[in-house]
Amino acid sequence: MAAQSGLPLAYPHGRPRVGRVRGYFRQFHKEDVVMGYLFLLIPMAIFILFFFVAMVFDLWISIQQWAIIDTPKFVGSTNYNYIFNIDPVFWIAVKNSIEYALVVVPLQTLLAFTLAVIVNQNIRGKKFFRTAFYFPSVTSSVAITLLFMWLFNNNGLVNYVLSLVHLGPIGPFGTVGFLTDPNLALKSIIGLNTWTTSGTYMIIFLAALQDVPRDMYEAAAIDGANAWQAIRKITIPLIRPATFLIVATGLIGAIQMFDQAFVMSQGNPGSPDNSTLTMVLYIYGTGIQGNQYGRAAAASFVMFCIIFVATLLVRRLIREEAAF
Amino acid sequence: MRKRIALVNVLVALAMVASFMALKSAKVSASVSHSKTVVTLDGWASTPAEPKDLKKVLNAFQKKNPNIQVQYNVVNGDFESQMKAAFAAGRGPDVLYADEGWAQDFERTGRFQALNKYAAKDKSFHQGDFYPGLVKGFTVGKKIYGFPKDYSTLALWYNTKIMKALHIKHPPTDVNSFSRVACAIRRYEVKHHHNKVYGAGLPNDLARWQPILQAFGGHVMNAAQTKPEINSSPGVKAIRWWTGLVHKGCAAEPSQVGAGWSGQEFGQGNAAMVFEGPWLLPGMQTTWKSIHWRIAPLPTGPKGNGNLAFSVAYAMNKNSHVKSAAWKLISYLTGRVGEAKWVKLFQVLPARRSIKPPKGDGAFVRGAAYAEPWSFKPGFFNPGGPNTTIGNDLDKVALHGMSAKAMAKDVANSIKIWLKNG
Repeated sequence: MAAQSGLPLAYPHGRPRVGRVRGYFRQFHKEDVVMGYLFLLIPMAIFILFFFVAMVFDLWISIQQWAIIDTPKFVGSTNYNYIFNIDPVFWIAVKNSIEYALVVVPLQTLLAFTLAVIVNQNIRGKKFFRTAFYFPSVTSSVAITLLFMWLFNNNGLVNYVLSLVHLGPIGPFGTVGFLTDPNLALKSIIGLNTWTTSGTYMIIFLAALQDVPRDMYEAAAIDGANAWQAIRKITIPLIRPATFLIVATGLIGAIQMFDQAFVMSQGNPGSPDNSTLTMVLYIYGTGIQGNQYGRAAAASFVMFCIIFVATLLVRRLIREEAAF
Repeated sequence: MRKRIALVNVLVALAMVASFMALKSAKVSASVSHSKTVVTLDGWASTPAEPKDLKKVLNAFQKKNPNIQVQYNVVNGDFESQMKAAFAAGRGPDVLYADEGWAQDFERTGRFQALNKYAAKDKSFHQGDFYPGLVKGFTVGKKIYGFPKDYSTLALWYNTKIMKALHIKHPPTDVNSFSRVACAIRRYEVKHHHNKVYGAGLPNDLARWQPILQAFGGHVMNAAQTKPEINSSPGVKAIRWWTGLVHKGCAAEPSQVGAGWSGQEFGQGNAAMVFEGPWLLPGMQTTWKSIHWRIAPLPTGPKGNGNLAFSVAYAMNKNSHVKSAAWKLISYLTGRVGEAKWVKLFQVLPARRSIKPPKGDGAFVRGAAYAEPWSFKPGFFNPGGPNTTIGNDLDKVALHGMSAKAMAKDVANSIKIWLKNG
């Protein structure tokens, strides 16, 4: 292959012996192998214990009735039956989480990409903009949510500004209930989180953008491509791995959204009217607060399945478009 | 050479982990190796003063019982979750604080020791001295799982400056005069362009609305908590009264004025009257000093008084190895001597009628006589459970066009689902 395409051989002294697994270690010193495993030991033990074992344990808890301070009682599919058919809010939580993810992921990916393209230009003060766009991501989400609540509450600055420009009265009390109107509360969190998370993803996009070889753009320019064509035909295809990473982690993070909804509805989780009840908030409320670990574990397993399928879909979607 | 150094590093790291573990177990064994009986006691600190004051009471106990040593441990963070984790691991303390809100989780799973026998045998304990409603909060069937160390009830907090401006000499004493005063205040404030000042602050919260429901003669459930009773004429009337004031704009929910709870609403000057407990006091003395206020008993309804008691008890671990010493501690802390000392130091309301409450708390003390316990079977506070449904529905009736009858039906339905499925 290599010789046919005229490129230099990757291994001028012959390939290392990696063909058979059994012979794989022969190329290393024995001490290296021992060291490698020693270094891996602790992270692997933590991973197996807190992720793999925990996952299997979750599946086991989901078929028990258990308040953790009593002895677990096997109940079969009762917990799944309860959350699917009886619980009045489980499907609301699923719907909220999915609706949230479907809006947030495209929005934040697009925003992050746009920001990355902007700060990748040679514009004046680009370092300032990079810092400014990234800033929300390094701030505590609880602190940001509290600030957001002050700005957007019925008595807050945003409603004050709206009243100055005579956009109010809109709501029932002359203000917009960003946080108190069941139709707006989740959308407010969507706005907040799109803004805070896009900074992190901007950094990943930026790193990917800087890996795109300059000469490709130069060649495209010589061929007469405009800026938009360059982005569509060169940038987007070449940063596909970064896009996959961002969409996949963004999706997982969105389905797992908890802290903002938790802080915003303190005292009455999911308020107003269960509109901010996400799946993790449901799991927290049922398990940690409500002491019904079986049901919470069943809901966690359902959430795991949703995330797993969604990630597979994203993988397939972004991979299949790869032809360029 | 480099590899050897790396290997040494890994070994040193492992040795450090091992030595930390050894140190920790050494610490535990050192504290147990006394000839005295050691009783462990876990509690939270509602204020930094609480552990200091409790230590003084514990010292007095140890002086009286020289062969018992109390190992008092202040748990920071979520006390309930940490106790659940400790009990699940079989490491629960001998004696612990138990809040009415979650005590039933432990009582109904057999993790607390029933105290009836201990109390009956202990001649100096005088069980009949407690307010019955407070002990009821820690009773399942006939078994008593905790004796209250103190409690809080609700009272009417009112803004004296606003009352004076309207020439109102006395705070309202019943629900009708309360409505009149609240609406009069709102009209007055709107006239003076104080659009963010309401007559009252009424949150969508069972923990504030229940006393009114009781005063109207209604209940969320029957006393045994086996069936809903909210879907009744007093229930619907109590819903209408509460939501009607918000609907008319005489009162506001805290979120309408950007507050997290009605205490904040009152402190910020957005509500002239609220139903709150003594926990609002520190806030009024520090953050909201500019508000002039007084407290009065909650307004009465057509069927008399209503109030809620939020109490914390001392409970005993069923698996404790030192039960008789643990009872001695509980008996002292909730007894006439220990509780009197505690009340005097920490300025809380005594759960015993024979102990004099701190000055100025009359309105709260009066509530204890008729207060219902804030205690529910497990699962009441779950997402989609009765408590959340009541909160959501109060808001819907007040501001989003739901009818009071529909709410009563909806809440009764959620109670039925909860009771049937645990």
